[in-house]
Amino acid sequence: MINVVLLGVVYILMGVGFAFILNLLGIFNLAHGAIFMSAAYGCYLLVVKLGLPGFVAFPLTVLAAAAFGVLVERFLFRPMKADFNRTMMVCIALSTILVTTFNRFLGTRALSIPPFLAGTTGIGPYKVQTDRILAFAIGVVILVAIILFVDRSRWGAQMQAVTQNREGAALQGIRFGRVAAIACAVGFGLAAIGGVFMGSLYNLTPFIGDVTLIKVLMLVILAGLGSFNGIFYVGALLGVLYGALPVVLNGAVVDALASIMVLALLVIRPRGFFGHE
Amino acid sequence: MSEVTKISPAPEEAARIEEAPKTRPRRWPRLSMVGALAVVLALLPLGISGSYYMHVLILAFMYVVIASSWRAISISGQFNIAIGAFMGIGAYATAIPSVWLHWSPWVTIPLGAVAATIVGAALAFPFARLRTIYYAMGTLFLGYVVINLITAGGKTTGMSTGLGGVQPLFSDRTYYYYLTFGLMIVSMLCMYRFEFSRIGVRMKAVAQSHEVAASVGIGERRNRILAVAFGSFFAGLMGAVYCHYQGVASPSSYGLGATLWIIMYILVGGINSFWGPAIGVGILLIIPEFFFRDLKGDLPYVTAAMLLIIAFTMPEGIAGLVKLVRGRIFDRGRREEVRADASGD
Repeated sequence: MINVVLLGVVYILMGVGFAFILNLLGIFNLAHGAIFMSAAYGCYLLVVKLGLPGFVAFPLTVLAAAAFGVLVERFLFRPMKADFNRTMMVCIALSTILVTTFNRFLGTRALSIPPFLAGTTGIGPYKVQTDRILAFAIGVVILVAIILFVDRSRWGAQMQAVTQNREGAALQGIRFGRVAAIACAVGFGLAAIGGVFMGSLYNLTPFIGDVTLIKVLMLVILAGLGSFNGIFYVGALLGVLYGALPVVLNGAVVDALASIMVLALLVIRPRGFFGHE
Repeated sequence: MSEVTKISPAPEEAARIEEAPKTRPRRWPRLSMVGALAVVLALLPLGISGSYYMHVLILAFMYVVIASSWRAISISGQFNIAIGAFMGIGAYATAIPSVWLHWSPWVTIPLGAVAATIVGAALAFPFARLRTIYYAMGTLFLGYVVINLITAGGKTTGMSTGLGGVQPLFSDRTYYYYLTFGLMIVSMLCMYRFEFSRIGVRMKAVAQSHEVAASVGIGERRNRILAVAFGSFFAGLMGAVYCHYQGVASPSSYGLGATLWIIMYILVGGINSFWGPAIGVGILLIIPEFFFRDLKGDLPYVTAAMLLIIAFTMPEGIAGLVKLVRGRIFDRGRREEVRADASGD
């Protein structure tokens, strides 16, 4: 049960990060899955190789990912001027480099980040691992913080302005470059949080990024391109779908069902459940 | 097409669409170059018979056709991320009768191509409603559905490990070389005819503005479905040949990753040129495999570096660069125009 909820949280984190970059920069960040995977591996290396406690390694990973996001925005995304074809090439090159690096140096065998907290806690009649509850709590706090950030803060207002009308925002003195850098930092940071959760709860291989990327695309499409609230509802739905259904059905069948659903939705209502043109 | 009535007729633009074939590029120097290359490739097996290089070239021939078939779809303005799935349909449509019913490959390969065409055309029908990014995403999930259905297919499709024991066509690799080479020549001729014929012009008109196209009687849906059917035929054909060549049909060869790399070939070569996909395969597949083979596991770095270099320096791919350079040398008077052309805006 907690798995279902957690999976939902991970998908929402990923989806929100992806939507940030898509809405503000107009870039389909196909490297999002690779960032997710690299963060999980980075955290694994910090914990296992350097012996840092989880509470230090986790924020460190997220900050590193956010800094990486700023660099990627400045040196890879900005020169491409949101040209769909060229950003696609850059994203694929980036994700190839990351996947190859981890594949080369750590191999394809499945690894797992050691749990931050050992032991289990009883909730009613059920026993639940404590670190999962912790992860869930952190995830919820971060999501609330993100909503507040977008709704209430100055930067959040600037982001909304840029999403609505880039030229208009520029005329009001909002620097697009800075907003884009923030969006990339937040997007990559959220992907890193999702990656660390995933890496500590499930097994880690260099290829988890690709699988997760598909789910994130699914989420963003179902919610509707440009929609923000939709991601929360649909993320929860996907969490249930992928957390609960594999118990009764074959995993491949679940995948097929979910993707047929997305396909049907796209054909019937391309703007998604919560989107607007 | 109820939108048609709203649009004011634009006679100048309509006329430009109809005139397009007259402004074809000069073809003869290019064709003779391609012909010379073809002769060299035809004689090459005498030198490299049975070696690894031959294997790479066989794959390259197949990918040239697949990448070009993607471009044939894209000239009607459709960014299709399901080309791998069309290959997969062709592959499994030939692998399943071949393995379970022991049919001859010479029957099942055309079967695969036809199956891919029929499925492609049938699926293109609902997708003709979607445009731009929605079409791209729709086809991405279409590819994902096809791979998932194959994986969920049980014993018939061999699940995620793939269906092994597909009968080989020949025992000698040289025959494969000439088969794929011949198929490539024939397919490229077909696609050349397709693109530079009246049909191709209609496709390009739809891509530029489906509304203007509709106002001069060029139906959007019809042409888009035709493009997908045409492209998926060649993708399915090559998917089928590929699967007999490898002796196994496995879903991972036809998934999103494979599709994205095919698109990379096209973007590297230049999406706006007929020879772009072929150039892209030459650059991104042949060069790393021929000259950087010793790197083994580090090979993807070379490919990624090439992608970055091309994304940064050549917005229109290699073909765009060639166009730019030729413009500087031969058409000094038109230099500005060519530069504006190649910068893509």
